[in-house]
Amino acid sequence: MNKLKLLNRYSAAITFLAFEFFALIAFSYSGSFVLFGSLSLALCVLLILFNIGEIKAKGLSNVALFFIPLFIFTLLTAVGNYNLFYVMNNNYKYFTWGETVFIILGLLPMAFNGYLLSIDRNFKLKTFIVVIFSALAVYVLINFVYNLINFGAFYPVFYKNFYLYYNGIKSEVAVNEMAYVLEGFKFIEVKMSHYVLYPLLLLSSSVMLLFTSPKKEKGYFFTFLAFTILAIFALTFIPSLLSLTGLGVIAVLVLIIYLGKTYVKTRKAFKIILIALVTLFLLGYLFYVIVVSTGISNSFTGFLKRLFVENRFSKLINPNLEGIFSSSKFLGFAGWEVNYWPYFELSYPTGFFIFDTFMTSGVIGALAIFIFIFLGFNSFKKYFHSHKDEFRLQATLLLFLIVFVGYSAFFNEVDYALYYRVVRPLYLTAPFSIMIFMFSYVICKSRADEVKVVEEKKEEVTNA
Amino acid sequence: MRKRIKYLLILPLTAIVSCGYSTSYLVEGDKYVSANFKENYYKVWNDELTSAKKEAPINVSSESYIYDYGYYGNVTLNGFGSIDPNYFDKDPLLEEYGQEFKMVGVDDSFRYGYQSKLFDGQLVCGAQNGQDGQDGRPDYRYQKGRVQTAESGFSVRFSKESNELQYFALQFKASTDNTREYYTIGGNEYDRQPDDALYHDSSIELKITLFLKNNIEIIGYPFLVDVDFDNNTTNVGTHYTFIAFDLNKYKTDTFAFTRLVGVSIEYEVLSDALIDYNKNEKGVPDISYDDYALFLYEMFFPYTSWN
Repeated sequence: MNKLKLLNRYSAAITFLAFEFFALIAFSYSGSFVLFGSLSLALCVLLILFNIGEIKAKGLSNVALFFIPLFIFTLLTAVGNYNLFYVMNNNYKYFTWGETVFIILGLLPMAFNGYLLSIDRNFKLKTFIVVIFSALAVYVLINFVYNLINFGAFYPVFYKNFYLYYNGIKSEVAVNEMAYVLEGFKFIEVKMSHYVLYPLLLLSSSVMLLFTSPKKEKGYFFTFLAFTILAIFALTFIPSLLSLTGLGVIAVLVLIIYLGKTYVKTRKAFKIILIALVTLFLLGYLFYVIVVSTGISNSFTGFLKRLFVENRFSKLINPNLEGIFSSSKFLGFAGWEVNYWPYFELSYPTGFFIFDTFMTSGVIGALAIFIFIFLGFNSFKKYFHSHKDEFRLQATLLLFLIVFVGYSAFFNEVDYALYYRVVRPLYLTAPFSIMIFMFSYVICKSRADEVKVVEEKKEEVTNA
Repeated sequence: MRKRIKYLLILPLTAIVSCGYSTSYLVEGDKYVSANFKENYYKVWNDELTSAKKEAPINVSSESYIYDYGYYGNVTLNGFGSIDPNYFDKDPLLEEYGQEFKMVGVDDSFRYGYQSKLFDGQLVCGAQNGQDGQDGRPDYRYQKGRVQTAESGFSVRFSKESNELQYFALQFKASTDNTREYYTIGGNEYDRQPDDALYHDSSIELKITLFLKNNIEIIGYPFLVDVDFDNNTTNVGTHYTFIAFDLNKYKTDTFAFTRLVGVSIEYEVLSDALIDYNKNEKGVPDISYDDYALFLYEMFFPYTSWN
């Protein structure tokens, strides 16, 4: 009996450790993928040790299926042409073997942590949400204040055509398109789109406000109110087209979630609109990828040419898509040569995660991660029905994931630092790890419930 | 109500932290890289240094170590003095010299602003040939490695303070608006072609003021250096003048050069053969000493530590 008590205590301590660990990631130790990859692995081992009984009881077979796409993605990314080129080429050593190993040994355990914590009795989603957003809030606050100290409030408006010389060189972008963020222990100048991501992620916690009573849960309400205000300040005091659009989009999403929850009639309408929009987007996306990758787009003329070839987005994206089904590019490729006379270097991914993944992970790897993300979002249906967690927490998870996936799909800066060489594809970033965890948690939580229901039905049948 | 007022404090708090500390480093648009030569003079003076008290100038020409080199000119050493040659045992043209003593290597605060061109370790305009620039990015600077200065000069205020100063060194060349005109070499007159080099036989008096801080105020200590340019070419990147002098010479028992917080560079043009020839012999009406410029490439304080 005593042994069991002791085990429970240890188990609780491990869960607490998990919270601390997630706080560390949410605080965006972006330079240290190896650090949180190894932590993820260690945590996974500890959680397995202390939850072995639970794992045996619940079984793995029901959820194992969902890890297959992620396994394929991590494996193909790690051994893909893109990663290996930059690990092994002495002139372009952007990645290390450590990072390569932890793409598999960091992201997969991260997903498994999602499963383990979904069956862990000590794990409370409410605490997890508070921890994640608190750490994120600290990070956003530090960045926000540092930017104000350096350039002052509303600097993108006041200093539109001003440049910051660094090491004697004029910066690539004007001050209105740059910001400071904390990276590791140092503040670095980054492109605005990298700064905006974190306040937007923080803002996704605002959905909590609509379903939390300021009287009954005062502390809780005001914590999230502070997060929301901070996020809005960080976006509006350093305004950019991206930050203000993001603010508007999230406000609409929050409103949709609120209306969908409160009015059953609107829920159905939203569902239809959502399915229609997603289908349209997917069809358009697939069509674009196929047309460009097979080279059909080259024969287009007139309007179609402008739509598929002759616009500034296509000029960026298309080189990453051309010939991806050929044998040399099927498993990813390092990039195409960009000539900066008298030097040349290799192109970076373009910032569109939905297109870059073909470059970084190959066709199959890209499909695998897209399937994983789709399964994750799809699981929310069951997850909402399961009532295992409070609705507001579920909605916050959903909004966080929508914001992250939606934003990264189009604005994921891979070389975000202005004055340092940083090449960080999405899969090496902190929010991606959190995304993997959240999806995995949602998938497993919704599945576990289903298993239970099936088992209960079986029991009912046998009892009858 | 009182509680709510507390939250309103957020706004003034935001205003207070909005001090725009780095805005002084910002440069508008294409300033200093215009096609019009006259628009590219860097004339920014720090208010604190402009109003600082200045001591009587110290003439260093006889004791300084002046090193002039290039394809066209001969290496000349004027007044070598008693400086330890080991401190300058490397050819200043070589990239290693710049990389070893560059100020940006001392502290990150030297990396910011237009004046960071003086501290980046790039001694010549086409430096780092065939190599990547900082942190692996390609280097696009070429002719833009310089700070173009007028006689009225400019000043730089450091955010760091030095400990005891050891040496001062400067890499520069003379220039004029090189879209003009005629020049002579060895008595032969040449009409300048667009890509030709211009040769300056000129002399200037350079005034380098070191601003030292004590507990009460900042005091400027001007150093005067006479510099003769011997066939100094403007737009061929191989001919520079490098001066260096030993500050230990000017220390006394009661006074050491410590707590350097800023530097200003001014000069006076004494003569320029090119300008004089165009103006007097050829009668080019719009050429004058106003078109003269000093191109500064790098400033060093070798072996000095900073706080």
